[in-house]
Amino acid sequence: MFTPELQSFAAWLHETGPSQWVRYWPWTWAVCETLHFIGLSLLVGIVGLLDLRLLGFLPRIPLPALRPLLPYGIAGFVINAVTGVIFFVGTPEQYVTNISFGMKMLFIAISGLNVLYFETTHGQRALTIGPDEPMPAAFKIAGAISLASWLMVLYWGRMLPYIGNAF
Amino acid sequence: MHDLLLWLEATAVSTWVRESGSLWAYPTVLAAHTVGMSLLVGANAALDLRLLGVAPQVPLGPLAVMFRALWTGAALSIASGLLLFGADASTKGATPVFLVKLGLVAAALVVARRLRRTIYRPGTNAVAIPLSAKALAVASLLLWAGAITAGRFMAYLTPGPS
Repeated sequence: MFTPELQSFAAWLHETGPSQWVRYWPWTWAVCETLHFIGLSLLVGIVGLLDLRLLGFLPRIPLPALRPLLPYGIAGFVINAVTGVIFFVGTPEQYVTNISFGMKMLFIAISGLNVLYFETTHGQRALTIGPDEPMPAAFKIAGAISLASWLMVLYWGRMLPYIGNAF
Repeated sequence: MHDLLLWLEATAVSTWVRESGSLWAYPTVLAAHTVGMSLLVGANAALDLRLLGVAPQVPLGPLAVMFRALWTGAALSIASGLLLFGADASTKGATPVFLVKLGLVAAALVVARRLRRTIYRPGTNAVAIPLSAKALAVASLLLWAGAITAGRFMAYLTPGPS
């Protein structure tokens, strides 16, 4: 589906200035990979902790108390979005028709929609949850979706070279 | 030493991880290594940030279970790491950046252990975080960033599979 269009888009992007710039310095890739792994650790650590709390674990920690950690999780995501775009721009041809890349983007989208839905519908309520208060079902579902989909993002990201053709 | 690494590399399990071509071999072990790392480093980083003053309303007592996540991640990383090392032992054993990574990981794990003892010593007021705990938290963040850097650069400073 759309394979020729995607391939010609990748071929066009590959020849653009930014793409050539990414490939110009041989260590760009290694440095961005390093940042990508630091970002993912930050994201998984902070978001995973919040997810566990939403699922009802760590009941003695009041949910609102965890909120100041969130910007660090978001920072991890931003680092990975930026380095991810750099990877894509540098060698688009190894991603556009790669099934692992498609799955990874799908699960990032699921995670994103999940957190947007949760924040807009339950965000205010979440700020009132005290210690030992039972978690509403919607909170548990949001936590489970988040935890599972970030795990899938990690898995499909790791599979890029193996179920697909990226390095 | 070199003979030992060659023997390890030739064992059935190392050969399977390296050569079977199965998705359950090298790719799955590598994915487990990444998940383990994110659990280990992520849990430790969240703790470090709390100790450095982020989210001060989070009580330290219940946060102790984060160490369970941390050691679970460590166990997964070490188990998968041994398999990855076995598959490529003679090359990795002779790669300086790999030895740097091992040193940084070992130091970071020692720091994590000391961190736990510093905060959760019996009789310690759980609200006050001693300066030594903050120093350990900074050391922890720097050591993990260094370990990840060395680990990633292995793929670029070593010949063979990344």
